Amino acid sequence: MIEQFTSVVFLTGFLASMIRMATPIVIVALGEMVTERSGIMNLGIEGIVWIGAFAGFATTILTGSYIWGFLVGGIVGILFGLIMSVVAVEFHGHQIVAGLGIWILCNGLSGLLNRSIFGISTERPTIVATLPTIPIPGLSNIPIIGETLFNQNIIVYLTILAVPLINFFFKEISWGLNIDAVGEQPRAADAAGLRVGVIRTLSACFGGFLAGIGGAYLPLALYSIYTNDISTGLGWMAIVVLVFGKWRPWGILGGALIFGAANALKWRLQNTDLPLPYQITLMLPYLVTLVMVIFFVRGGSGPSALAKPFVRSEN
Amino acid sequence: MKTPKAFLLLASLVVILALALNACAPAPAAPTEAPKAEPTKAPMTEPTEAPPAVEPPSEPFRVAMVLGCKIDDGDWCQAGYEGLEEAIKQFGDKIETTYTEDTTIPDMEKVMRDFATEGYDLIICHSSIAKEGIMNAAKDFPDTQFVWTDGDETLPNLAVVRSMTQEASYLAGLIAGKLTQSNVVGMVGAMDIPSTHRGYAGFEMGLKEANPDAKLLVNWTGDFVDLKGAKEATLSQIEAGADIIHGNGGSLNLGTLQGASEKNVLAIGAVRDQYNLAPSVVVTSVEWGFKKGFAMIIGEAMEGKLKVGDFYDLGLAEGAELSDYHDNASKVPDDVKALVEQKKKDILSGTLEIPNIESGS
Repeated sequence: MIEQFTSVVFLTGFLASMIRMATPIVIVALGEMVTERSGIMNLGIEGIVWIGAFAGFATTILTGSYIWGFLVGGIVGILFGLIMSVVAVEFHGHQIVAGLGIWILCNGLSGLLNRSIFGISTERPTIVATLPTIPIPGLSNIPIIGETLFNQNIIVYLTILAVPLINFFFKEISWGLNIDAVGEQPRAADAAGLRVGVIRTLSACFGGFLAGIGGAYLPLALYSIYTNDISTGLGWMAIVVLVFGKWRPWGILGGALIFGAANALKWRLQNTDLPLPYQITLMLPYLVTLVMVIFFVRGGSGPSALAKPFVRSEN
Repeated sequence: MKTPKAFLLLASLVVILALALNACAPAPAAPTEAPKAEPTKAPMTEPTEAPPAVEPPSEPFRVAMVLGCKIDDGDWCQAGYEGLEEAIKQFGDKIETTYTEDTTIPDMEKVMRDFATEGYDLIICHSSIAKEGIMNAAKDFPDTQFVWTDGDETLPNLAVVRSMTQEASYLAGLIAGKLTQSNVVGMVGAMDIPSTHRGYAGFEMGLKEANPDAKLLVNWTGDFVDLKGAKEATLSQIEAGADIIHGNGGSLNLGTLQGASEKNVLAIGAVRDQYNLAPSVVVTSVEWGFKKGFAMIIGEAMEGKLKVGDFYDLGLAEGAELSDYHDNASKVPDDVKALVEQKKKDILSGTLEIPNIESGS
């Protein structure tokens, strides 16, 4: 029994699966973190992930280029981030309603565009190969870790790099501090001369950009086809991980890895001789998330001005 | 203050646009697959289209199909739709067909009531979990004939189609047992419900018979569309040593077959001939028989001979089958093919009976 869990093949596969699951969650959650720390809550990222996935997929099919795929996915994401920020900043709209509106809009739009561009066909359009992996010389030969950490595609490396970079950005760079300022005390930030609207708009666009990239990652790097089901739930998962990680990059990474690990384990438990009903193993990721939230997430309230519109003067 | 007005305007705009687009999405473009040479109507896209004012002397038999997923999902709904197409091919302009796809379960009753009100003669509900909807609609429209796929209860105007997949699955199990080198075979299924459990039990029976040492790894994803999970499950089984993977139904098979094709591990599809989803690895598929089955049922309904209040069990004799090997024929040794043919004959002649096992306990 125990040897089933300690073999090199098992551990390699388990870690690889964990990273496959966690990468897109981290990408989307980092973007949403920037958006939320500026004071905008964009629940539309679930939809932006859908449309980003479709845009990236369609572009890569039509141009044959991964770079264009990710770029167009990101740009479409920016567009919807912009819509969100216009509602939030210009019209002081209700952000949760607007976010859900964007979700439903993108949801329908991606299915509609998929049909109108690719039609109905038994020959499902497929990307010839998923994003190639780039082994890092030397490191990729280490058993278990080498294969899973140092033989990945470019996006995984960039995501791992992005975590400390964004952390640094928020701790040390004045722009990052400004984002926190408008998310915590917009009135004080405004009085200090910061342009709250501009900062929030840019943050929402950045969040949309990463949500689009995270969406495009699914067909380009993982599944090579597009169906409406491949992106379902990624945005919501990112929001959960964001809260779980208390709006901090390392927390997000940790949360996504735990969720990825639980996910990887749920399939592997079914392959062992453990006499567990499959429904129990399927519950595992959610059970783990729940337990972690109950016991380890304390006092995690987001930015003070989250989802509160900033109105400069009340007359 | 102009804020609330502007916000209201924008919010309502977003909502209207969203709803409009969402409503558009499932409405299909005219099916391009329908054979062009046919003089018949391809399935209409607009279910609400009014019947022609002046009816031609011989009215066409009107059939409506309600589907819970997309007609090009590669699996369950595509199989159902192929049955509708097959009927069009066979009966030409004697029938008039329409369908709605991506119908949510709560909407199904409403959609079926609409079709019944519009005077459709036969309404096919291709969703096993829409029990409440189909029961309510069928009770309220006793003059309309209903067909329910994979249901468990009939009514005086409702016939139920059940896929008796155990027979074809048994044959697939034989192939898997003979082909495996590692003696480990994987099966990825959706939910452990009667229609999938029959296939699972049949597959296991065939596998053990062909190769008593073979071990069957079973993963259920708990969801019929979770192709992401199916792919992860497939990869985990391949790690655990499986060298043949059977995807047991649902559009999640897209993920299963893709995982197998990525690792170059032989695979067996299900529901319909899934060779084209992963041509390099799919040796055969367990067809559940909807293509021939629905055409047969529509034909019987046209003649007024639909067995309402009864079950249509689609076994090997009624349209279920093991798909062609296509270009992977060379991967199946001739003696295995001969064995499969022999067992198939035995089943059809009644000398071999595969038990119908619907649940694990």
